[in-house]
Order: sequence, then C-alpha cells, then structure tokens
Amino acid sequence: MLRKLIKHEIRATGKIIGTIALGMIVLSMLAAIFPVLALHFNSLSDNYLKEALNFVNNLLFTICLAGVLSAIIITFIILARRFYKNMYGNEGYLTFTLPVTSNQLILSKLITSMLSIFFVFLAGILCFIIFITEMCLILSPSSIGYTLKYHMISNNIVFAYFDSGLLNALYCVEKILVIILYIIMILLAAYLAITIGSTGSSNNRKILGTLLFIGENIVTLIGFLLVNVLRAKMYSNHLNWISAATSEQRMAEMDARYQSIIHLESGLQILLLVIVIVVSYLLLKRHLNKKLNLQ
Amino acid sequence: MDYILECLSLTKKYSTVTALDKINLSIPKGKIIGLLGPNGSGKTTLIKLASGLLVPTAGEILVNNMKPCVATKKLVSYLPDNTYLRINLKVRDVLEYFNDFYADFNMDKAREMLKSLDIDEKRRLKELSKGGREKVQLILVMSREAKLYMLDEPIAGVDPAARDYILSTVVSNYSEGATVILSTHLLYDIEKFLDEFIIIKDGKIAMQSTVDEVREEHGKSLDLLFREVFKC
Repeated sequence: MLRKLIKHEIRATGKIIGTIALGMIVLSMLAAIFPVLALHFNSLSDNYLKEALNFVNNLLFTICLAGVLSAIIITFIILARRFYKNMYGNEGYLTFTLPVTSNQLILSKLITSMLSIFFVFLAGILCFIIFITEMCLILSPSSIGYTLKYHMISNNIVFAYFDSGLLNALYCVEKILVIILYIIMILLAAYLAITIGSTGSSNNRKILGTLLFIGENIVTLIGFLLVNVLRAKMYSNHLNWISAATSEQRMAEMDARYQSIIHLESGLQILLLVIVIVVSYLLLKRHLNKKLNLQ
Repeated sequence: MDYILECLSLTKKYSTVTALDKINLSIPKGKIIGLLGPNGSGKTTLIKLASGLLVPTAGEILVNNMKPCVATKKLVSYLPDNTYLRINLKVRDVLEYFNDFYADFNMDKAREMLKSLDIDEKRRLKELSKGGREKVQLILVMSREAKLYMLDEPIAGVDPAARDYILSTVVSNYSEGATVILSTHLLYDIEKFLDEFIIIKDGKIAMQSTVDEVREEHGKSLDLLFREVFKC
C-alpha cells in the first residue's frame, strides 16, 4: 500500500515540481546573460545611460537569482499545501477512508516530499553548472578549461580544508545526514502544525499549530547553538593544547583530537534531530489515530 | 442476528455541541436502511464515525464487530455529501486509484456504468457538471463489493431524474448480503426502496422500524410521519 500511496502522491505533485525545476533552469540561463551585458554597459560613454542600464540589469539579475534560490521555499509551501488539501480538505474524506495505516500515510507524504526536495536541489546544482558554463562560454570560450572549484568558488574554506586533509569522507557523510534529517524535521513539524491547526474549526487551534511549528524550530536551533558552543569550547581547549604540546605530541595527536571534535559535533546534531523527529512523528501518528475529527 | 453496525452508548461532541447523545443502535446485514432526520440531527456524524473519519467522545461503534480501523475500511464503502476527488484528475485516473487501493473494486462494473451514462474516461472531472461528478463518485462507491455502503445525502441537490438514476443504481448494484445506509431528508423518492429506517432527532434515536410497520401502525407513509415528527 505504501508504494501505491507514493505513486499517487508523485502523480499529484510531480507536474508542479517539474515546472519549478524547469523554471529554475530557465531563470539561471537568463541570469548568466546579465553580467555579460554589464560589461558592455560599462563601456558606454553616457554615464546617465550607463547607470540606468546597470540598475535595470542588476535588478533583473537579482530577480533571476532570487527566483532560483526561492525554489526550495516554494517547494516547501507547495508540499505543505498538498498535505493540508489531501488530509484535511475535501480530499481527506477519501484519504482517511483508504485501507491504509497512519504510518503509511505519514511515510508516503514524507518520502514524496523528500524526493521532491532532492529533485529541486539537483535542479539547483544543474542551474549553477549552467550559469557558470554559460558565463565562461560568453566571456571567454577558452576559460571552460578552468577547474571550476578553484577559480569560480575561490577562497572557499571547505575546499581549503579538503586540501589540508583535515576533513574526510565521514565528515561529509555526517553533514549530509544532518541536512537530510533537518529537512525531515522541518517537514514533520509542518505536518504536525497543519494537523493540530486543522483539528476543529476554532482559530485558537490554527494559532496553536503555527506556534508549535515555530516552537519546534526554535528548540532545534537552540539545540544547534548549544552544540556549537560546546564545539567552540572544545576547539578552544584544542588550541590551548596545541600551543602547550611538544612537536612530537602534535604530530601524533593533533589530527585525531580535531577529528574527535568535529565528529562529536556532528553526532550531537544528528542525535538532537533524531529526537525531535521521533517526537514529532509519534505526536503526529497519535493525533491521526486518536484525535482525528474530519468535519 | 448478525449485525454489521453496532453503536453502544455512542456519544460525539464538538466542543459544546452534542451531535450524538448515547446512541444505542444495531443494524442488521443485508438491508437497505434509511437514516433520516433534518439538517444538524447527527446523521452525517454517525456515518463519519462508522467510516473512521471521526473518533467518538464516549461509547463505542463497531463495524462487523470491530472498531473502525484498516480492516473495517476494507468493508465500508463511503460516499460523502461533497466532491472528494481532485477535480484535475481524469475519470480513468480515479478508476485506477480505487482499483489500486480497494481489492473489492470491480473495474468492469464501473466502466459499464460510466458507459451507460456516456461519461468518457478520458475527461477530467472538472469538465463534468456537478451532477456528473456526483454520479462518478457514486459509481466508484457502488462498484465496490463492500459489506456496508454508507451514502451521505446521495440525492440532495440533484434533479428528480438524477435522483431516480442514483436510487436505482444503488438498489441494483450493491453486493449481495451487504447493508446500505442512506442518509437523507428527502423521503418521498427514497421510501419505496427502504427495508428499514432510523429517525435521528437532536442526536438521539427517535424511531427505528420498518416501512411496512409504519404503514400498518400509523396508517400513513413514512414521508408524512417524518413531517409530523419534525413539524416546526
């Protein structure tokens, strides 16, 4: 049944998500033209005309960039709206009379939402590649041979860390897992807020749902902040250790000590997110099983 | 006797409003039952409780001796009083949807009924009239070989010709041994199809009997009796 629910969910949202991805790609293709135009405008002798054209050019470039970057937010809004309409709108009369469990309902929404967000994210990466490639081709066809990660994303600390060998594949996996869990947390928080806000017709429930969503995010951010404070404290101790240690000790232990700090940070973030996700999921399931009131 | 639906001191409250007040009810298998009452009497609430869309405030409701759950949803075919399908879908998409989730869905029967109404499967629901969409929903519901059909106001808001079609579809297509519960306040059209009826008034059972008994005891039709019970 879960596969069927996912199939129909994808059918319901696939078209609009595909349209968002296509829109992102078109905007990124347009956005690449504006920096090139700016070069031509800068060569104009009429200062007034130059300023006016640059203003319009920058505005259009910003709009294109904003459009691409806002795609994730738009995707979230569409997925939340879909959840509401399918569960608590008129479609809910069909959804809640299907012979499926509440686990299957929740998981189908969650999995489809994750797939949609991942698809939009891939489209975002494609947009970035298109933008850079187009600019390179227009500005200097021979520049396409440049290694993009060192010349187009210059002074990036992550790449500096890669070069120094302090970061590794495990750390990258941990950070990706943190991002994925954070997205799941946001989705479940939205589902729970919508569910509680849709129970009964009073406005108080809607306010409660909104406050719950904000509250859950604040709690998670406070948790992340505390983890960062702990990390900063441990790193400060690490730096103190480095200045006090002998060169032999530094050679032997520095890397391991640093690794333990960054892995502990990731571990605590993952643990925090898992706890919030489990609590949200259980509350949502309980509400669907015990408190459903589709009026 | 075997009962398909039982209510044991069933109560449902919406904040300060009591929609159903300690209802005790037993509905047998294999009958067409009219659930009658004016607007706001509790008919829809009872149907939704049986379909698993609402949770009782107190008491119990049992479908085939089970509380509403996944297993009872396989037995109950529910038609709400509004459009519950996504209107961007094509008719064939909703047929596929029902076929995917309900093992008892009879695709051939559904297609035959659609054909008899000249409804093209390739059309989107939004291209159909309101009456057309309601007929599609009814066909989907009646194409299931369910044990209990719960139809909430199936003939409200439709023209007399469509009412006749809906009622004849219900009577000729429900599976053998199944129970059909029809809620309505339009008695004149439905009376001749009913085996039994239940009158709900202010959340309580006012009367439960057969149509024939009403005629014998009160010497009048169910429609006239209803008008007397709910006289303003």
